[in-house]
Amino acid sequence: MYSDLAFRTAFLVCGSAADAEDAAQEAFISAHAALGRFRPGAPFRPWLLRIVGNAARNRRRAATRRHGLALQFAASLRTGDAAPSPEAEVEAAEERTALLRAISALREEERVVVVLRHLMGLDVSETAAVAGCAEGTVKSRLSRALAHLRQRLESDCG
Amino acid sequence: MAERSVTLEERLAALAATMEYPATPAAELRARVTAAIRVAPPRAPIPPVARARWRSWRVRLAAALAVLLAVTGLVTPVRTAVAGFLGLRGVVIEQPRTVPTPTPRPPTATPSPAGLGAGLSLGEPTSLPAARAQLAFTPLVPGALPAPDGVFVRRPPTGGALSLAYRAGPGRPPAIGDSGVAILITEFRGDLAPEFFGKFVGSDATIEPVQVDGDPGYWIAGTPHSVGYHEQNGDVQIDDLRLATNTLIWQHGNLLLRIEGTQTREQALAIAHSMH
Repeated sequence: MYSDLAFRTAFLVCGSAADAEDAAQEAFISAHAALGRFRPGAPFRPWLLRIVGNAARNRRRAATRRHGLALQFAASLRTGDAAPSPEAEVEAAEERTALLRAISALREEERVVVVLRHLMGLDVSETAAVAGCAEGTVKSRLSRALAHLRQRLESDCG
Repeated sequence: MAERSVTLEERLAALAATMEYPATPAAELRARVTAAIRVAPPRAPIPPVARARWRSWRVRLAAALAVLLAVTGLVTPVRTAVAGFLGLRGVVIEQPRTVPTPTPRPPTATPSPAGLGAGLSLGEPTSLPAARAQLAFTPLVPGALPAPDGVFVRRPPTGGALSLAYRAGPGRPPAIGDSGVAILITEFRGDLAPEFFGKFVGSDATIEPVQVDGDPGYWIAGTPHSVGYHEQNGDVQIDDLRLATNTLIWQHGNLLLRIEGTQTREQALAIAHSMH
C-alpha cells in the first residue's frame, strides 16, 4: 500500500521513524495539492516517490542530529519447508549483520541508493526519483557503493 | 570458500527479505493527512474554457479519490497499478490489483419486513414523503421508473443520503445477486460531504466521462468495483454489501447522484435524464 511505500522509503532516507512519519505525511499532503499538475499517462508511483524523496531529504537536512540507519532484520530467515539448522541460522544472521554494518558505514549518498535499490527493491528510475538525482548518477553511485561493500566485507573476512 | 560463490547482490536480496521496518503508522498518517486536506482543499487548475466548474469538480472528486486511496492503505498490494484516467488533465483514478472486498454479512434468517433493499446498508427504510423531511435537499426521482419499491435514508453523510431501490421487472435489468434489487439510485449533498464517496475500480472495469444534460459524470462499467464511504472520523468504510455493478455517477448542482444496476450506459443516462 502507498502508506507503507511512502513511510519505508522516507525511513530509509531519514533514518528515523519519527522523521519518516512527518515526511510521509508532508508528502501525501503535497501530493494532494499537486494532483492538478500530475500528467495523465505518467505512472503514479514514481511521481509519488519523487515527492516522498523531496520531503524526506528536506527533513533529513533539517534534523539537528543525524540518525544512523536504524535498520533491523528478522532474527531468522524462515524458508518454508526445511527449517535451517541452528548453526546455519547463526551463520546467516552473522552474515546479514556484517552486511548491514558495511551498508551503514557507506557515505550517505551511496548508502541511500543502495538501500532504496536493493533493500526496498525500487528500480533505478524510482531510486533516482527519491534520491533527487539523474538515473546515471544512481547507477554510478550504486556501482561505487557495491565496490565499497565488497572491499569492506573482504577485509572483515580477512 | 563456499561463500565466495554467493554474490553481493544475492546477499543484499537475502537481507532485503528479512528486513524489518518500523510499523507504518498508517492510522496516524490517515488521520493527519485527512485533517490537513480538509483544511486546505486541493488547488485545482482552472482550465481556460467555459466548463471550468465542470472540470474543477472532476479534479476535486478525483483528487479526493486518489488521495483517499493512497492514504487509506485499503489498496492492498504495493504493486498497485494506476491504469485508468478520467480523461482529463490532472485526473487519476486507481485500479488496484485487488479491489477491497466487502465483508460478508450474516444472512438474515427471516425476510425483513422492511422489504426490498433491506440489508444493503442503505439506512433506515422510510417513504418518499417522510424522506423529504429528513434530507437537507429536495430529492430527485426518476420519471422513467415507477414508484420505488424501497426508500431509505442514511446518515452520514451530512445532509443524509437517499436511496431508491427498484425490483426487477419488465424492461428492467435482472436483480443483482440475491438482493432482489435491479436498480439502485443514491443521492446526497456532494458539497457537504465532498469526500464521502470513493470508488475502487477493478482492472477489468472501464471509466468513461459522460454528461447528463450538461452535468458532469462518469460511467463506470464492468466488475469488480466496490464503494467506499468517507466517515467523519476520516476512516474509509467499505460498504458491507454493494451491488458492485455498472454505475453512473454525476453531479447536479450540489447533489451527487448515482445509478447502479443498468446494463447499458444509455439505460442509465435515460433514467438520469428523467430525474426531476
